[in-house]
Amino acid sequence: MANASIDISIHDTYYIVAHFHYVLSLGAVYALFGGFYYWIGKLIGYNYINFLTFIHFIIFTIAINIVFFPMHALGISGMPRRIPDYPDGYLGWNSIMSYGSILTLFSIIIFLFILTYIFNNFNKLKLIHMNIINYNN
Amino acid sequence: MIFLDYPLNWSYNFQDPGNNILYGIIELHDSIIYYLIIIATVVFWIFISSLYQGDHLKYLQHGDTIELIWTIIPAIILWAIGIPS
Repeated sequence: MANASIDISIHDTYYIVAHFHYVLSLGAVYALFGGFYYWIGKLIGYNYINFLTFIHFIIFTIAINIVFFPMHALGISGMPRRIPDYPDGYLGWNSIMSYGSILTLFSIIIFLFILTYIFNNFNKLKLIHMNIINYNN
Repeated sequence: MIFLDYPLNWSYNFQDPGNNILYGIIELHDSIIYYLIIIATVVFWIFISSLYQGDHLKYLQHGDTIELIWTIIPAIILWAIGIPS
């Protein structure tokens, strides 16, 4: 897209959609989840469950890459943006993307479970001692 | 003469070019992707090896030289991508 000549042939295709979803989902949403896990201990005084968080991270990473990576292939072979229907030649990658979106929903359910678990089970979680956190060691 | 192509299932590249201009654009795209794969490999290598390092947080602050380098070099790369158009 930095090259104007190539941009002519991928302008207004799903390549662009893939690009800005990578910027948003892997940039903003990752920062959101990272900020949540970084500061939740400071907010409520109890730490999250490490194992489930790791599972959430792995599944979310795999799922959003299954959703958004095939968009590059679709866009570069000419599937236009903002048109709700597409010819059958694009069906393969689009079905893969649909499975990926279901996996993303699954990872969001895991995140909501972590959220409700943290706020309902303070007695089972580890208490954080704020004073000994030193990130420069 | 009119050349027509249509989207095929599981295709991951441009449709077949109908004239020399699109052929040249595909050539340009492929040569850019060649360098992109090299850069992405190096970046992922450093990224994942730094995760296994353990004390990578120690070097997270006060790196003016490396910040200058990783600002200027991508600017040069972007310029090199944009100029051929």
